[in-house]
Amino acid sequence: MAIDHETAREALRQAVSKVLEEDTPPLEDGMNMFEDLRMDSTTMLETLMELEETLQFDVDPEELDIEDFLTVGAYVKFLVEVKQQQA
Amino acid sequence: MPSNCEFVHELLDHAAATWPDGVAIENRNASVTYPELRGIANFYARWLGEQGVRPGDRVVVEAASTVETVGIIFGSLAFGAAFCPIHPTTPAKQRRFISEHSEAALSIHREDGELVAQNASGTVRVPGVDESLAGAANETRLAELCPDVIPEDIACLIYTSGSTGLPKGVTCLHRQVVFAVKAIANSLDYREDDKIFLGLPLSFDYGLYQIFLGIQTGATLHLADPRSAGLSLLKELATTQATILPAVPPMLETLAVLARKQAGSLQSLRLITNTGAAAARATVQDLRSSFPNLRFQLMYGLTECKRATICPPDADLERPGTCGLPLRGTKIAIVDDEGRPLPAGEVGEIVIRGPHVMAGYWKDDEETANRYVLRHSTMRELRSGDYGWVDADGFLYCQGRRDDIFKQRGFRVSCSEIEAAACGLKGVNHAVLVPPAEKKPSVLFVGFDGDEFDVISRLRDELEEYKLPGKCISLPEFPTTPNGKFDRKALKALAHQ
Repeated sequence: MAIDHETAREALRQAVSKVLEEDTPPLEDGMNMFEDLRMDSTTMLETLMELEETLQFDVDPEELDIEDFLTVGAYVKFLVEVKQQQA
Repeated sequence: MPSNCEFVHELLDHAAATWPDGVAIENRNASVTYPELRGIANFYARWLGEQGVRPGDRVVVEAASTVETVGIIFGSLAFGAAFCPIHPTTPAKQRRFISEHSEAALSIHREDGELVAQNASGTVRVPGVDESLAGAANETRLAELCPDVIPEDIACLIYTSGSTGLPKGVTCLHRQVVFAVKAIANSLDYREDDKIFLGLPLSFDYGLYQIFLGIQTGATLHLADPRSAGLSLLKELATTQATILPAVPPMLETLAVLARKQAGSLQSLRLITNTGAAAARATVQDLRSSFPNLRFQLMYGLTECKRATICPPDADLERPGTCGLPLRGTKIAIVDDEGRPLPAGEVGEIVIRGPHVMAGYWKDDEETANRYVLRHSTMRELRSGDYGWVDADGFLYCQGRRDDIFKQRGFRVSCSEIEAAACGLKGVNHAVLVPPAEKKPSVLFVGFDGDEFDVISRLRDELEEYKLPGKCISLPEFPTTPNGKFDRKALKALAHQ
């Protein structure tokens, strides 16, 4: 089932919050995942795994491009697209 | 291809002569051969002179994973100046501390996205790789640029977290670095046709040494954005067709998870070398199942001697938990608290001897004397601060530290450094850091003497990103021991609840 940007953004916020074990404020597209949300490679991976479960999709590790995950905006776009493709 | 090089930059001369068409460095956009890299180094050596740098000076370099960084490093060396690599996320304040402490003649860093060089008289733009490539036809041997340099001169200062407060500058002489590079290359199975995927920052010594190891062995170094060594690691390894991955444990864990989803087409990768902290055996096992052709070389070392032991490929299968044998021409010993040697099988402090033991800490004679100890008038040894034991065949097994240094995301951090930085914030009166444990982030406990605020975001102005605590918890009152010290054990329990 396809999802809209708002749903994807909220799912991302909840996943980040769960992985970091702390409250995460509402996300904005311009936020940088590494610098603003203090993610590192391990928490980035955990967040994606969490999203795979909550949003029900499956990524191919050989298709993962870091540019898709650098900002909240890019990440949300990735989530919307992956859900569309796998719908 | 043995070389009698005495200088770090001479290794590049040797590579340019031996592999005139060999690709030294590549990234997503470009690649340069060994002779081109030598030309780039020639260009930056001259440019450093034009900026007022003199042989014997220090140059601080923000070590982003770029060809420019590598060119500036070799340019400094060939010019007779020592370079001092710092992490790209180093806050301005920390960078100024390192510049002042090292008495650097020049600091090269990024400002508003542009690479600039700052000296006493002002700031200038640093020429990019395209400009430096214009001089790449220059075939002058780097070793001829500055005839006054001797192997005893300083090649680099590597700032690393010390056991007290501020970072310490490990002082590395040309002869020590050259010895270490040759000895490590002798133990590691790196070959001329290899491609090394470097997702570690060049400011960390194992990342930095990949440049030298590539040049020593004729391999190609693929410089990747360290951020891509996470989620996109499998893709990057497949796309670049890399054969060797120098890794820290979090990278291995990431790769293991990604590989469980799909190990498919990763045919080229044949060797992983692990440093930074002991790799979880289960992770290594996972990776072995996912990639049957993949071999491992596990290692142990610290910046103060670069590397102490390296395991022959897959020898950990026979000896689970080992981190290998001492480098060729070096020794390790296990000693008790009084410095007396212990027999095989007994746990004590790991002590390292040999020509790879670096010169000491820059301008810190006290800490140098504490760690680089004179056993007798002609023998100096490095007290590692790490504990472990050796088996009957001389293989080392490392058990970790007993002071306040720990590894976070594979990189060295000290509790006292972070606590000092937190207590330096106005409004914080106590700070205790609990290091990360299995799957739990590091936790900073703070006490405020006024309004509470977001300590971690303020610490970003004080510390590099990789040093930041995972979590911060405010405590109105700190548990104390009967001696009146903060009860770290109780705080640890609280952190890991």
